[in-house]
Amino acid sequence: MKLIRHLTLFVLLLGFWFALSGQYNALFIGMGVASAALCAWFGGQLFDQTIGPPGEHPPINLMWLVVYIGWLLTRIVPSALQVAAIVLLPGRDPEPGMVRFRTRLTSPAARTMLATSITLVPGTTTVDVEDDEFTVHSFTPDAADDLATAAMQRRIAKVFRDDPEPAPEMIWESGNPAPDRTQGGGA
Amino acid sequence: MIVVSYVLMSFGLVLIAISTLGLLVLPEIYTRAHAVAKSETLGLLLVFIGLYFRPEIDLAAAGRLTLILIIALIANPTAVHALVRAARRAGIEPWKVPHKPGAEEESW
Repeated sequence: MKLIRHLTLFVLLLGFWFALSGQYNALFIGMGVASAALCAWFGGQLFDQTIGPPGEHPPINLMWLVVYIGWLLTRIVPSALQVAAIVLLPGRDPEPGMVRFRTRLTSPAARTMLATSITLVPGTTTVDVEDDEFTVHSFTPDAADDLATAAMQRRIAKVFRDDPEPAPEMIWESGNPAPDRTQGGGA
Repeated sequence: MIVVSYVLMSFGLVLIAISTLGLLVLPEIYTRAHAVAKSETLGLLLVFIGLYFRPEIDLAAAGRLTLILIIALIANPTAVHALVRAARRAGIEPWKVPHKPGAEEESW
């Protein structure tokens, strides 16, 4: 089972290589096989964390996956413009903050999808995931609205046939002290 | 068609330029990560959609573009997440709004 997943990843990566390279001589085939094997080997070691142990993967509802991807793309536009406006317009500052919340999504695959989606949508970045607890950095307080209302979690739950998720409790890191610019700036 | 392509790609390039500007003006790694991965996500989408409208793009090329777009849309947030998580675990505190927002923009 484990080998099958590695092989699947290898075949997909090799197909990707050939689709992009369009060269079929010994050198390119050799480089493709080598890099696909290397990536499948390294990537495969993360399978248990990212999509769960073999055999325990929940069946995906393809229709809701398509709906979800469409919804995600519509979310990117307004938040990207908001981030751009804050960068461009003087007098509009970011109001960043760290927020923690728990999710009821059970499978590692669903949590991986949530973490990646949070980072993909402008305005929020997944900082850390420990079991069911997500730490998210939010560019503005309202950027995390889709998470606070569980709009994103509910749609992912449909894809992975999880139970619908109630709005989580959002725990913002407390305090608003004067910033220590020396600490963050050089990083 | 080519006009649509130019318009979309120009918007996309402007957004990518803004995201680079954000990298320069924002205070620390977490907010900079937003600028890089974020305005850029939409910028990338617009550049790719603009490319689809170009006359020299046939079906096979469009398929390859789609593959690259999918990989970019997955790899981009993954890399940013890895960076930000490393920053968090190294103990870097996120920047917070000073008590008078907007008063010290120049010191960024």
